[in-house]
Amino acid sequence: MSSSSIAIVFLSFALAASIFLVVADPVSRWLVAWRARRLPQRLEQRLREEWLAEVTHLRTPIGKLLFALRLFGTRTSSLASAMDACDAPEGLTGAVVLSDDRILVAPSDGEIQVAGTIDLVIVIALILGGYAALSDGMFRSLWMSFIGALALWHLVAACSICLLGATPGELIVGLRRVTLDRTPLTWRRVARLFGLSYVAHVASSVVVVSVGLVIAGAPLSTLTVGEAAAVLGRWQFGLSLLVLHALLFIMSSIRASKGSADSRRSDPEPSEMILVYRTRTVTGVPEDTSRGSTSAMR
Amino acid sequence: MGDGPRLSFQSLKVLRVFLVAATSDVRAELAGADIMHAATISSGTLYPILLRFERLGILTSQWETGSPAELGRPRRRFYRLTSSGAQFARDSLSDLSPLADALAGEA
Repeated sequence: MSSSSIAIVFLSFALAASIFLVVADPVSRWLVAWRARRLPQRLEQRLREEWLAEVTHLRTPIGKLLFALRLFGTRTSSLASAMDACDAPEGLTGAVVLSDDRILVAPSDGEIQVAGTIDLVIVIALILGGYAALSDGMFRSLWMSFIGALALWHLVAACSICLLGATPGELIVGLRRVTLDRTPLTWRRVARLFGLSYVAHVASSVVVVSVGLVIAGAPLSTLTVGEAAAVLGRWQFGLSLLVLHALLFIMSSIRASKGSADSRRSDPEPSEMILVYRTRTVTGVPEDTSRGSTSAMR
Repeated sequence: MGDGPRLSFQSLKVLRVFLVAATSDVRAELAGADIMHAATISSGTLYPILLRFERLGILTSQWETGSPAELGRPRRRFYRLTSSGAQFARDSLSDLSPLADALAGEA
């Protein structure tokens, strides 16, 4: 084996090890959050926080991953059989009593997906509206409309969450966003949450546009402004960009829903602990949701 | 012991961890990862055992003091033996002395 081959093998192992070190923590968090979501509601609410805390506590990436993988392979029935007698955790885990006849309960996956779809329709409407509103010229492209619509969407969503407690889609479905520590959703916290999301969208746009230009046979190094505008203005390019970002949007919406923000790699700051709940009007508090969940949130 | 719950080898390992911890502090509290390492069992095995023991009143658990915002992370949940659970653990391990010896040998 030549020295260059050895170097390539060594570098490959180093790269694989680096990737493992980087992804072990977020993957572990995602695995335990995913596993918890498949459990009955009261058990999910308790074990998700407990497991995420243990993943945070474990020091080695291998330890985190093994912890998560072994939970991932555990049968729901073996965990659920002990559910009835376990206390729900204090704080915002378990149904939250709003008043004598209103409680917050965790929504179903379907409700979250419907809310996300409504938000997506609003974003697409903003894009098409922006495209129609832009005057003719090099900036009249789906891509430019998309960036503008994203900026507007994040502003609308941030305002909606701060003032009304949910995005437009969540409001229509009847979902509300609340924080894990039951503190109010302030402008600063929402701005921090959406600021990151906005930067991520713009950054991904730049990457996708660059790749698209190269694929279209327009190398960036020799591309003139006029040529770039011509490529960006093609409807096929704009449409493919729209589809790619729609996928990104859906993925980020799924991540943001049902506490999956907890699975992000960064430390779980309060701003990232925003959970989506659904308001339910009841006659009295049902027995199965009242135990250990009497935190008033008036 | 005959009327009590059926205990697996892993369950006995968990009980033994709590008893050992209780020798230094009667009200010793242990979190999942600590128990997992001390008992050398996997997380997938441990949590059903913990939940079952809690249901049976052998263990009790509570959240770590402080809110997630103060701690900057999710709260850990700590388990400890109840007084009846401690007696049950001692009885179980003494009744199964050969198995208890095997457990001690593994520790």
